[in-house]
Amino acid sequence: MNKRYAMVIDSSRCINCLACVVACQLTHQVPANFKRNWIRPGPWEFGAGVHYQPGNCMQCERPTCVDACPTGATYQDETNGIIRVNPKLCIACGSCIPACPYGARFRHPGKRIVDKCDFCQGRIGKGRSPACVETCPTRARIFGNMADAASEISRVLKARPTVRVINKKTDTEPAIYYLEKTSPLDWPVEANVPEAIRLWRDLFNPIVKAVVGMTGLAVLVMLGKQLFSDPNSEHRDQGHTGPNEAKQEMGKGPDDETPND
Amino acid sequence: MLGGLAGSPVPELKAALADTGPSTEFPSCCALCQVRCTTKVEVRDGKVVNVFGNPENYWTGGAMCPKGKSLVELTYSPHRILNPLLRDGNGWKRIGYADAVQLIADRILEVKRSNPEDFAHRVALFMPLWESRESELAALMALRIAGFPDTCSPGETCIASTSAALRICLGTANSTTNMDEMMNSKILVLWGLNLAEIYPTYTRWLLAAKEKGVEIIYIDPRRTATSNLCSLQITPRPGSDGALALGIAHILIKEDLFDKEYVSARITGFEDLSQAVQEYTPQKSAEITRLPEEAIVQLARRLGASPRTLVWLGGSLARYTNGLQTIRNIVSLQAITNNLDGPGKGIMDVLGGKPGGEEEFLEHYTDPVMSPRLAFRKILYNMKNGKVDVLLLNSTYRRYPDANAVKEAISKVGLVVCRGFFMNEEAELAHVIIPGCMPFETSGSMYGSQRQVLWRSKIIEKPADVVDEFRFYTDLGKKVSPEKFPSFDTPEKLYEAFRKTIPSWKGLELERVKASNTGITWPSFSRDEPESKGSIFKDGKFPTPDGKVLLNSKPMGTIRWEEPEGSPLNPKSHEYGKFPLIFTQGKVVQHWHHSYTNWSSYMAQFSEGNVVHINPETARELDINDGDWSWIETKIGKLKAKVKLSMAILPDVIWTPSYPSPKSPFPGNQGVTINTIIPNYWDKVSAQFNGFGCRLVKAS
Repeated sequence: MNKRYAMVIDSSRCINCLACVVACQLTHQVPANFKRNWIRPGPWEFGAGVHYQPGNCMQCERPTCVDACPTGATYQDETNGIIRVNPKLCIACGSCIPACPYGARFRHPGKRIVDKCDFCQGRIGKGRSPACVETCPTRARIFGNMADAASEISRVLKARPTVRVINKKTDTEPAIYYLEKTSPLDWPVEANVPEAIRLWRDLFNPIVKAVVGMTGLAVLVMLGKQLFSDPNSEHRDQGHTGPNEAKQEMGKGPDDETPND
Repeated sequence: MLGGLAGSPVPELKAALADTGPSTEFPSCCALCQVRCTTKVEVRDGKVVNVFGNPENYWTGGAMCPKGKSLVELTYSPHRILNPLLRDGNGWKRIGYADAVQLIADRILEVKRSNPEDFAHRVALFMPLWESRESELAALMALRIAGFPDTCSPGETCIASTSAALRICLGTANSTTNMDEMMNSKILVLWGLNLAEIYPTYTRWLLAAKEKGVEIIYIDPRRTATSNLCSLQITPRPGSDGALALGIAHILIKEDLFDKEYVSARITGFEDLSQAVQEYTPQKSAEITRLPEEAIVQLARRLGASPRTLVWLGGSLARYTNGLQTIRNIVSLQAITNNLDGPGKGIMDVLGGKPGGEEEFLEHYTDPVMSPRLAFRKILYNMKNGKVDVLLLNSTYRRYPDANAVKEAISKVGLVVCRGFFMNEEAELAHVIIPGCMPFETSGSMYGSQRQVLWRSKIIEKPADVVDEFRFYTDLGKKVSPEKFPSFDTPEKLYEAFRKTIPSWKGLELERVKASNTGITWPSFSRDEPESKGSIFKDGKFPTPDGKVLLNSKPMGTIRWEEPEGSPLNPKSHEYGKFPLIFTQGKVVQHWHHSYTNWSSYMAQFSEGNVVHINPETARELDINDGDWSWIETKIGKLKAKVKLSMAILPDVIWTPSYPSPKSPFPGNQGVTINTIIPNYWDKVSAQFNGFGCRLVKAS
């Protein structure tokens, strides 16, 4: 039976210590100011102060970043539900960046791919938890396989009411569930899949895959980079709430994929 | 680019141990705060690539905080100093390590020769060191055997007042119990302790205690992440905690909510306390603390009704000039309600206390008759007057109030030797820099806030020309006292010599400590005895002269509360009428004081430089808006900070983070050292960093 990986987050336990963010960056060699995961402070509430909402790629069932990907590099792994990036296909065009309402996609400055959380594929393959889960001092994040009724996450999902944090207009059906008391529930940013990309993908994606299958991608990647890649372009709407907005000096990163998984 | 500085390639590092596979995990422990998270360090090709908490650690459960993780980046930082350096007329030039040690030793010997009658205070050591207990012992031996007793102790800017008050009242400077006793409490009071930010990896205990039904009361003027984990928060205005304690004691005594039997059997000075609290009516303590009377009365009744209360003291309580009195007042509450010894009871401080035996061990090697050790302010005075010839600067001088004055005094020292990692403010003052090792590169023992002793093993080779502290101070000791300096070649040998000499360490055998995932609790007189956890008062007596809690110690004067010095509410202060806001500062979760985490880009991404948090009400009165730049002005100086409006701050109070460093290479961490504008106010034991007056002026 296929797995379905998901995360339940108890944001009432989060103390905003940021260890999950650094654990992730170290594990995946993501330089400072670029983030695969985040902690979002909620609004000040009278008598309750500020609470924190940890998050990361929501591994959506209706992944708009997959819709936006012109080369098929971003795809949902059918065996476990994780949205992954095939680095050989990714041309770093950045179409997926505005397509993700959560700001979970970013151009990795050292790898020339648009990176994202993959629930630490390498670590979970070895039976470990994702880095953010393992590091969290308050165990605010529970990770597991929803398809396994005996897993902790299935038990929590069954026993306790959960909510999903979504944009009102764009429900991407995230696989991150929050225990009921989290705020805010509404995600302010809409998914923005460029129409041209949608068209391109529908028309040409099968051809791209075929070309890749036959010849490798070198020529097309170069072409794609010419066409789509503009590191200075602003891919976000005003007021985008996401972890990767800071534009700072780019650090040097490794060429290989997530060696610390 | 300077020789050996930024830009130099980190030398290729080899795996310290044979048979390391492509990625191997090594046990270690974090060298930063006193939680002492034990860790698993991932090494690939001889290089540390990641670090995670050790899931078997009893106290942390395998968690880590971002600071500890920053050590991976810092170890390979391009900004790290990789060679000993000597300042000459043209700046820095490389110097061989052996030549550097010889130069320092020659100068120290020269100081002794030129001042045969009066050399003892002409050489001083800045504590703490970075690496281990053994490196600290080696440094202390190197100087003391040569006849130099002076150390600038970090306690004077930390929680020395708390330790001193606990020692006077209870006969021990340590926490009286362990953290897990909170599970046996009915009420846990976090008094000025923002645990979620100071010791994030302990917070799971708060959650567990809360789930078990323990009521957690948090006393802190500022709303923090810790607030979210507590049942109730009380927000007295900064510096008034001692008055709150006396107000509570007033109600406990008046309403007969204290343990009379315990008081008569176990307390000396209760009459003085009763006398002192008479004037602290709910009305008066409410006026001082700016709390509603009802909140104080309710809190007192809750504490009076609790069968088991544990109080955990935050560091900030000691950082006011009334710190000693505040701590004594809080101890009094625990004493009269019979909450000092037994399960679920006690009083803990934030550092827990150092395992004993150090002085005893050092006395084996140093002459018994020595000049008395000087406190920091006396050493500062000597430096200012050119009476200190050599200063071994192992840690930051910026921890002191009026840090610019300290800088100026150090600049008058003939030879300043900096032991550091980066070109920071301390390096700027140095004549010689001997770069230090990062924690993964050395071995040695450490201790944690639960009195646990741990061993940190070397995991990777150090860069070729950096020098570990143990070696540097051993080499220096041998050169300045060739006949007397004992020959401990390795930290392991020193550890074992220590253990065999000090009875309370006998059971802490090296192999046993190394094999432990959590550390072993001191004291341990034999490896066969069970670990000594829980209340340290086992026999119904306190280690005070009469075996009772001492509340009316003569040297501490009458039981009282006083306005902190420099408080804008103190009519006698210079600040009164001129500096109307109350200054407070604090640590943030991503920084280890204002020290080397400032060299981490990962920590910088969460940092905002000099920022000042104020209540919107205060902002309205000052006509300042969120995001404005403003000057924080104090009696001695000013600095520019970005205003952030926050409901978490009380009106008429400002809060600013303590980490910024002007030398940090990363914008988020950069800023003016805030201690440069902190006026010099001290109680008998330690310095004040909060509670004095300041003003906020919009910057044009």
